[in-house]
Order: sequence, then C-alpha cells, then structure tokens
Amino acid sequence: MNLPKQEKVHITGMGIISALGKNVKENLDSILDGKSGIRKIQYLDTVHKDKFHVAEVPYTNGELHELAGIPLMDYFPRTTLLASIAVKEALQDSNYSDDTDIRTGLVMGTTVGGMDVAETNYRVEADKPKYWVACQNKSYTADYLAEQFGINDFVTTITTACSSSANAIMIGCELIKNNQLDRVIVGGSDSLCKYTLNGFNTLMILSEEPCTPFDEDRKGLTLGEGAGFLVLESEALVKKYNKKSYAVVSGYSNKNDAFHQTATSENGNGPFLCMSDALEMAELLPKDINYINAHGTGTPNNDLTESIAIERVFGEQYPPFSSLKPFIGHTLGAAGGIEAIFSVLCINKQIIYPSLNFKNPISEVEVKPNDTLKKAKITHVMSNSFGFGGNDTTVILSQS
Amino acid sequence: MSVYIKSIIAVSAQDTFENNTLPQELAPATKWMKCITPEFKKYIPVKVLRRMNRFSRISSVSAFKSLANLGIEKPEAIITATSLGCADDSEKFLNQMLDNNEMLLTPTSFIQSTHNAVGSNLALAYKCHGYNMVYTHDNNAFETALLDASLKIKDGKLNNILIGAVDEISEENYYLKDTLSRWKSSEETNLDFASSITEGTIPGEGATFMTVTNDKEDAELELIGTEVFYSLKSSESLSDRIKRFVKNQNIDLVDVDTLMLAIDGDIRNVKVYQDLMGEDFKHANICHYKHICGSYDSDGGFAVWVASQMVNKVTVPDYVYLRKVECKPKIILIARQNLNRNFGLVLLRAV
Repeated sequence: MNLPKQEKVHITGMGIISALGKNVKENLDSILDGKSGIRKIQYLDTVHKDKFHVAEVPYTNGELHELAGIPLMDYFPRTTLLASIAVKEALQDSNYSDDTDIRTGLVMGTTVGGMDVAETNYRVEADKPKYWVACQNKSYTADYLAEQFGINDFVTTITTACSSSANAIMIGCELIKNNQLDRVIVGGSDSLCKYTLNGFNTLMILSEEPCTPFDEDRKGLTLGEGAGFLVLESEALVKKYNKKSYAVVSGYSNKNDAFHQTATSENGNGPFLCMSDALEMAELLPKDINYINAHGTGTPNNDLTESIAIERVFGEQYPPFSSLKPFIGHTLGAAGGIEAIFSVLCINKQIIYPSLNFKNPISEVEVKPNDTLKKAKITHVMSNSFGFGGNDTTVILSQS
Repeated sequence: MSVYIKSIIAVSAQDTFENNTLPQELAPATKWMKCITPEFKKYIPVKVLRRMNRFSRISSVSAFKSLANLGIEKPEAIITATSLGCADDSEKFLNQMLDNNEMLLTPTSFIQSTHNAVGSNLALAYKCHGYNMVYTHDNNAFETALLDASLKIKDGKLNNILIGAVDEISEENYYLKDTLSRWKSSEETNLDFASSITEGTIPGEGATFMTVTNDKEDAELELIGTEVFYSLKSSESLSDRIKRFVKNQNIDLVDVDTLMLAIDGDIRNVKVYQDLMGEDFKHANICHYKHICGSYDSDGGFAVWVASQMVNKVTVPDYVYLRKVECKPKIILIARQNLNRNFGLVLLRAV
C-alpha cells in the first residue's frame, strides 16, 4: 500500500530529566544561569565514589518513583523511572490525546537499560527466583512505557551506543514520512550504573575532573544520566488539530566511521559523512546552519575527530558550536534526545549555549567552540551524536 | 518498487549453514537447542577469529556467506536485530566487576557486550560507511529491521541492505530464567511444542543473515509487507488485525496459502493463534518453526529461512506442517508474538 508521503515532521512536545532538573524549564534555567549539573558522586554506590565527577539526576530512586507516580516495587530500573518522567512531561506538553484513530508509536534508545537492577541483585539470594531478570532486557523500558501510556502501535528499542536516541528520532521521522504512523514519541533514557562507570573506566576515557570539551588539555568524558523525549507529529495532524510546533526535523543521517570498535578516525569520515548527508536531506548549505550542538564528549579522540569533520564540512566560515556535556555530562543513550530538545530551545529562545570549561583551543585544528551564552538569530541547528562502533548520527532541527 | 530477499543464511541448531536444507527428521531436545557451529576458520582468517567471541563468529559467517553468494563486495547498509546482544560477555564483565570489587578490570568483554558490536564489526570488515542500525526490542527486533530495510529499498535510496537476526544462549541467562520456570520440565521436548498444554519453552539460538534488495534476479522471496505492533486494541482481535494488514498489502486473504506461526510450546502462546487456525485460514497450510531452532527473541529471521525452504525446495519434511493442504506454498504469512505483546507480521511471496 502506498499512502501519500508526509513531507514535514513537527515537534509538538518535549520532556527532560537530567542533572540540571526534572523538567524542561529547570534544565534551561540552569544553563541560562551557567550552572553545571556535574558533582561528586552522591547516589551511585561504587568504590570509585571519590574519584570521578558525574552528572547525576539529584533524586533517589524512591523520590523518582514519587515524581513518576509509579508505586514502589522490589525491582525497578532507574532508566525506566527517568524515561517515564520525561515522557509524561512531553505528552502533557503536546496536549496528547489518546484518540485511538491516531496511529501512535514509541521509539526509544538506551544503552544500559536495567543493568542497575541486575548488578545489585546478581549475587543476592542465590536460590531464590530471579524476578528481576526481565529488567535486564533493553526493551523493558519501552514495554513499560507502552503499557503506562497506552501505546498499541509501533514500539521499538534501539541500542547503538551513544547515538541510540538520535537514531530513535531519525527512525520516528522515517515512520511518519512513510505514513506508517501519525505520531511518535522518540528519545532515550539511561541511568548511571556501576557497569557503565567501570566499563568506561577500563577504556581510560573518564576524566576525574569535570569534562572540558574542545580544550587542548581535555582529559576525558564525564558520565551523566537522564532522559529526553520528544513528541513528533505529521504535518497533517498538526494542521488538523491546529497544534503548536516547536520546530521541524528537517534532516538526519546515520553513517558509520568504519574505523575502530571504540576509537574515532583521524579524518573524521563518519562524522563528515553524516553531517554532509543530513544537510543534503534538509536541502541546506553549510552556511545555513546557525549553531552546532556538538557531540563534544571531552575525550582527546572524539573532540579532535569532530573538529576535523566540522572543518571539512564548514571550512573557515564555520558556525558557532559548543558541547552541553559540561552541563549534563555524557548521558549516553539519552544524549541525542536531551540535546535535540536543547537544540529546539536554541531556535525558540534565539540563543547559543556556551561550551563550559573551555580555555585553550585544540592545537591541531583551527576551529574553537563558542564559550559564552549569547543571543543570535537561529533558524537551523545541527545536533551531533557519535557512538562506539563508529555509529554516527546528525539531526538538523529547523524553525517551523 | 518491489522488495526482495536474497541469500538467506542460517546458523541454527540444525545443519542449516553448510547444507541449506532441513534435516529429514528432528532430534528431540529437552534442555536447550544450541547452534551447530560452522568451521569458522574456513570463512574467517584465524587472526581475526581470535578476537571474536562466539556471538560475533556465528553472525559474521552468516553475513559473509550471504554477501559472498551474491558477489557483493560491500553492502550499502547493515541492520542487525538482537534482543540479548552478547549475553555471555555482558555476564563476564558483570562477574569480573563483582568478583574484583570494581578494580583491575579489562575492557574486552565490556566492548564486546555492547549490542551494536556485531553491526559495527561488520561495518569494519566491509569498510561500510553506510547506514548502520541495531534494533533490540525483544520479540520483534527482526521484523522492525525488515520494515526499516524495506522502507529504504522502496524509497529508492538504497539497492541492497544486509540484515541479520542473532541471539545466543548464555548459561547464566539460562539459569536465571530457569528460576522463574521459563523452561519446560525435562519430560517435554521441542517435538511437543504444538501439543503441549503446559507453560514455558525450550530456548534456542542462532544467526540468520540475508540481503534485502530491489533486484529480482536470484531472489529467494519477495517481501510484500511487514508490520510491527505492540498490542491489540480492545476493539480489534488478532484476526481483524491480520485481515487489515493483508488487505493493506492488496492481497486477498484466500490467496495467503500458508500461515507460519511462532509456536514455542507455551500454552498461553498457542491459544493466541487458535482463532486464526480455524476460520480465517481454513484453506491454508498451517506451519511452525520454533521446534526446529528452539525459541529465541530474534528467531523471526529463521522463520524467513524456513519460508524460503518451503517455496524453493521441491518438498520440506512434514514436521514443518501442523496442517497440510495440497498446495505448493506461494504466499506465506509469518505471525509472531509473545504473550500477546510485540507482534510481528511478515508477508512473503514466492518469486
């Protein structure tokens, strides 16, 4: 069956929970005030407590249960709690109606899923039934959200490391454009857990001090946690219900660096290809982009590769760019969702975010990040998410 | 634009990889159905093989063979579907971390445990910079991958896409689920799947890779359509939903001559399909496949391999059929779900 293609995909609702706060307003206010969410470890029970800084969501699991309105259970992943809170905000924000005629989907990205539950219960009560096992599945959260919010149609989970939720946005758009769905909730969620902290630690890419993306002396990344979800709707639906549209998703692309399992290439092929391809899809020239929300993790490898790729795509007239990781940490599978929302807010508020903690430019390249919060005319924002395994995604958001 | 499936390669509990055929008889299994592993070094250089875990190995040989059969030097995109990813390496890293109290850990299992490790290893092996996606949603990750691939082919954006479905049995995961009575007691085997009146299943594992393309030549199957949905609305039965899906593909229900069901031996799942077997598909062959490969989340890939055997071989063994009508399968509908959740429908046609 060939239904007519939908040309535009609108963003009609947004929800965030991160180290900066439990909703979009608290998150934005914190950035406007220049306040970072990176602190010493307070909530995660780990032997590395005093060694690393992280960007934790400042609530215990019990408090998150209360915020989410989910009754306390013996086993419940923090990732699911964060996701539920962000999805609820996004749905309310979009004036979500549960009209059954609207084909509604959910596409979410996550990397650790319910690993926090697994690691705390793995060795407990050896002979007892392991009721927590289901929490280990990557799809546990999406299944839970589908039940909680009554989503019958398309539900899926994507796990492509740090580009997971950027890919979720892309897949959601494809489903609307191809007339498979009218509306889709997209984004991602990841909680901090020992598994991730120790995994990244073995790769020796964690910074002990708060991360300093695009700085000559950058020491590595700072882990964060959170969830960011957006409600995407077709042009037809937005017109029919006369809905507000925060922005449209005008371009996206996923490419592979095909260089190394965990390292990024010297020529930035993957990032170069996805940025270029997303521009082509959006029918934009490099000069049309007003701001780049860079992936900018703060690792020596990523920031150099991304800078090289930005130089290759944009040349000398590159737009202002910055990384939000010094505010929210690297939220892994949630990063693409959370940062897409911040990118939309750039368009709505006509502002550019600073790259915190930046002092000296990287010597190998000419480009350097924007380091002050400023007003600017913003029509098109590019948001990058690059993951392990060379999984590179660019999303372009444009004024409606 | 029509979408075709070519060169379907399956590593499974049967000798499907080397022989590409169904065994004449099925052996009973009571505990699990592990893969018959190919002779990896025939297909992968020893130096590369040493760095790969078993999960990567069964995936890689299937992927390599699928593309090599077609003379494709580099796929344009790679989409993988896996529910558990490399469960074995996840457990290794978790155990290492708990044993050593988070100290002196090595990164190998952590890297291998990421769900996109196979997809990115394949991208590396082919120097493939194209689209690379990994679906991990339990029962319908594979159908989602198939849907994604078909939309891209129909769009005319890509000419060929490598897609794969892979999951493995890990001993610890088996044990954990055993504490929840997910598995059948030792009195029942995979041969009892269709007649069982108890709950639980027998787990399996496998890797099935195939090439989805716009080119009909040498195609094994045409992919008419795919649909993925989470649950049934209260106003609609599975039968209604399937009728709507088939109609939307411009196919008459009576022309669907074969219905393939994901019967895993759990009475709760068998019940979900009961209505279909009666009225709606009384004209059709009713088939199943999980007793051949064991039950795993991404075994929808293996179901497509069985469908190809049915249309492309002169005959297939009778154990594939639950009910046989005298007709050579031409249009096959594969219907999968788990406990009334995460449905996947795949409609295929002989080429």
